Amino acid sequence: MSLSSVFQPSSIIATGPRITAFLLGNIKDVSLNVRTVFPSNNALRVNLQLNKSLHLCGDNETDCCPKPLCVLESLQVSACVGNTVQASLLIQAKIHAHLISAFPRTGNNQTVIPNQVYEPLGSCPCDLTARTCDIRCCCDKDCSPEELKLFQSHCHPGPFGGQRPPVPDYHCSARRDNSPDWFPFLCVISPPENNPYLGLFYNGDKIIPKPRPSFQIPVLSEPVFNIYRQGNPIFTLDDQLFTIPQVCLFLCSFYQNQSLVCDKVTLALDYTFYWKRNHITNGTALFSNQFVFAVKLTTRYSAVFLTRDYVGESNSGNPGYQVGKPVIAGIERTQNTAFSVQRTSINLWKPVHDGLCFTAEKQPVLFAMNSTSGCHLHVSLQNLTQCDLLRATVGSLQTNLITATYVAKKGNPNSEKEADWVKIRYMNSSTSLEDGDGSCGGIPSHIHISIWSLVTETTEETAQSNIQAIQVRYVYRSPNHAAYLLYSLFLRFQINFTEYDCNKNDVCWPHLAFPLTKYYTGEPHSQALAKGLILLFFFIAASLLGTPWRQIRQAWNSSSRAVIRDY
Amino acid sequence: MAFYEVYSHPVLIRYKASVCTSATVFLVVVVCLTYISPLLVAFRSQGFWIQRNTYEEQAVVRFQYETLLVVATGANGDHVAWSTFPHLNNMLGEKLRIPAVSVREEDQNQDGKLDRLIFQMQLPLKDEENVYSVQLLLIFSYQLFTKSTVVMQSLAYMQHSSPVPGAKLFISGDLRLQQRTPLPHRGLFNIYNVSVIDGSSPFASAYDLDNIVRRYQERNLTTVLSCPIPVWTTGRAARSPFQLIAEIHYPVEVISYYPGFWETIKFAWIQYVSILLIFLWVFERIQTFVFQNQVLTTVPITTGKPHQQ
Repeated sequence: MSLSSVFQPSSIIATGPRITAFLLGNIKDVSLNVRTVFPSNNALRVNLQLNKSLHLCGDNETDCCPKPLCVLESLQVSACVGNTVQASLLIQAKIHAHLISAFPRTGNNQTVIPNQVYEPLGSCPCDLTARTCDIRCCCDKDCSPEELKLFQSHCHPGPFGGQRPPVPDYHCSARRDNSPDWFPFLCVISPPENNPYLGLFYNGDKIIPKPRPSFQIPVLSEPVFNIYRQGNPIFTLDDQLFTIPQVCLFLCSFYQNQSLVCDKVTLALDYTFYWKRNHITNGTALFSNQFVFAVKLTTRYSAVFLTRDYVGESNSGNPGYQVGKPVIAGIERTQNTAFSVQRTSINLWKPVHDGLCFTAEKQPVLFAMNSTSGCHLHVSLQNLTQCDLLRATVGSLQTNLITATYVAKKGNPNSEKEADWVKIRYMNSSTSLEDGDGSCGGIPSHIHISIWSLVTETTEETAQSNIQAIQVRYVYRSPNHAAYLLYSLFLRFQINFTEYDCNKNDVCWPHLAFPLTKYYTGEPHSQALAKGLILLFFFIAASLLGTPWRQIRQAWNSSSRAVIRDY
Repeated sequence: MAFYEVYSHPVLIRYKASVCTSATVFLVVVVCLTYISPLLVAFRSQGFWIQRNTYEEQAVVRFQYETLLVVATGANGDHVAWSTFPHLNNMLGEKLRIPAVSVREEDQNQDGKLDRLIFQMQLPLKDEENVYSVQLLLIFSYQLFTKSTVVMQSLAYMQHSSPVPGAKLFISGDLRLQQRTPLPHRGLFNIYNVSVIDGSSPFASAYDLDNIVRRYQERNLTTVLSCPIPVWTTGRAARSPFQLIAEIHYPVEVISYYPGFWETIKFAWIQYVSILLIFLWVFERIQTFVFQNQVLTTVPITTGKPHQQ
């Protein structure tokens, strides 16, 4: 019967839930049906079994697989009736060897690992490479005697080298020639297996390890703020941090690409933020552009937070001066009859570039900071012949530093109140004013400013300092060399008083009852007092039980008896 | 026949007097001199009250796996840096260079306290870059238990610079404890258990070495890495990274503390009693002389059995 369509393959053994086959030939109007079939009485079951061990061959084995692909052959099974072949089955056998043995091999030469709880060493912990001699491992069985001789004297010590640990000195079996005579009396008898290395390789109980620090996956958490407080970072509209470059020891780069114009070279960028309560109400950025041809570029950035446009006069403390703030000075306004002072500051030289006086700037004197500075004035021999001109030049330079006549006593002075201001005393030190050949005298090259201040009261644990007096002294020198150095010095002098100080005396009598005083800091004062009372209690108890109380009692009894007898 | 002493025992003689006699005045004066003079003598000769004592302990030190590294890669001051703080790494931008770091802490004598930190770092460098200086900051947690319980976060800062470019820096030193004031003798001391570098801060000032070192040095109890001999090896091959190997030991420290009340009293008592014994002996002799020879009038009463005649 010729079939117009045929299944390829014609029969399948299904080992999974899904089979795939092809129907070739006439596939038009074909319907597929599936039904279960059972072997009928006319079915003969044929089993074929390979009686051969499938493990890989070791040494001198016969019933084994020499190669991983153990069996590769073709077989034919024929079903015959008499001599006539009724049906034939073609089998292609491709069988691989079993690499993992189903049954463990127990050879005669397998090493038995002793129980590590009772034996102090592993079999040979330094035998790390198989079938190769490990250097310095004297217990390695793979080492030939010649190889052993090479490193015999450098074996790994201790249990790691497979060697027995040394017998401790206190062991009775460790008797040596120089051990003392009483050694057998005090030595320790214990089995030689008992030593500190027991259990070194023991595969014992598991313990839960305590949490330890280690390298972590970096978690970048940026807290989001609805309102701003002091110290919070500023966020842009798309929740990124608003940054400006920092000049630190090592950071000189941008974090984010801000709105910099790329074709021009920006040299300065000033941000001004206006804030009210917890919000930023306005912000401006000021660019300063210049065309620059330079190899090196310096950029300056600043950010300022303001509550209003107008920035008033800043005070140096409230009420006393704060350390590091400028000293407030003033020039008296002579227009009105009433006292009025215009604020200015006392200055020192702030040399820039090359340190010359004509190009130098000025910086204000800061409270409680002793300072010194100066600048160079180059003078030629021709100047030295015109000493009056030189004196006038130097004098004008120095007096430009201090133009004030008053200095504020407090950090927040009232410009109209005369009691808040103290007059500056100007003094000249008398030195020779003679002009000689090649030298000029009377040059006011040094200015000494001395400010006396006093700590008046303590408000909330911060001392309030006031300026009591100020003195400016011009020192005239007449040096011979061609360059004059103009100095301005500022000193601060504070009145302090000493009281009785234990550190300065040989014997400190306030320390006689040291643990009960405030000087003892080992324990809190209350606890020290309580313990002192306990001690006192012990002393009283001792005296009550001893001689002094007996004497007092006798004296009291005898005096009371004498009184009774008198009556 | 020879005469010898067979046995002897003391006989008690009591001297009695009434209250308003010179004997009473003498007794009061002697008692005062006996018990007060040793105190004055012991105090005057310095050291009566111990104010500071020391003990030894090896601290429990754990490396916190927080580091900050700055390496100068050019003679004109170019830097690369890396840290374990993600905010700082983000801020570094192009200056960030990630090294390969491996760390191991060991307990060599198996006493449960770590003894040594081995820190190995390899920093990749471009061919034209040369390493001129290295600044490394490691953060530890430091704990003491014997007297007061001290728990604090501390740091080890090491820096080395050289005019010649280097290939390897080897540092081996001890993490030493620096005390400005003695520790209390008991209680919990954890005011310095705050992180040295605030890793959650997005501001660059939190990672500025000036600020970190300034704030850290204001503490009264700090640790410092004492490494007298860093080894700077020159000659870096092209394509090979810069190696930094640091071995930091955690040694046994001698720590000073304020002794407690009873310890102070005990040492003072020892000094007092040892001088009191001398005064007791001296005044006992004086009293025996005075009362036996009736320098002051008292009534002696013997308590032994009178010899029957």
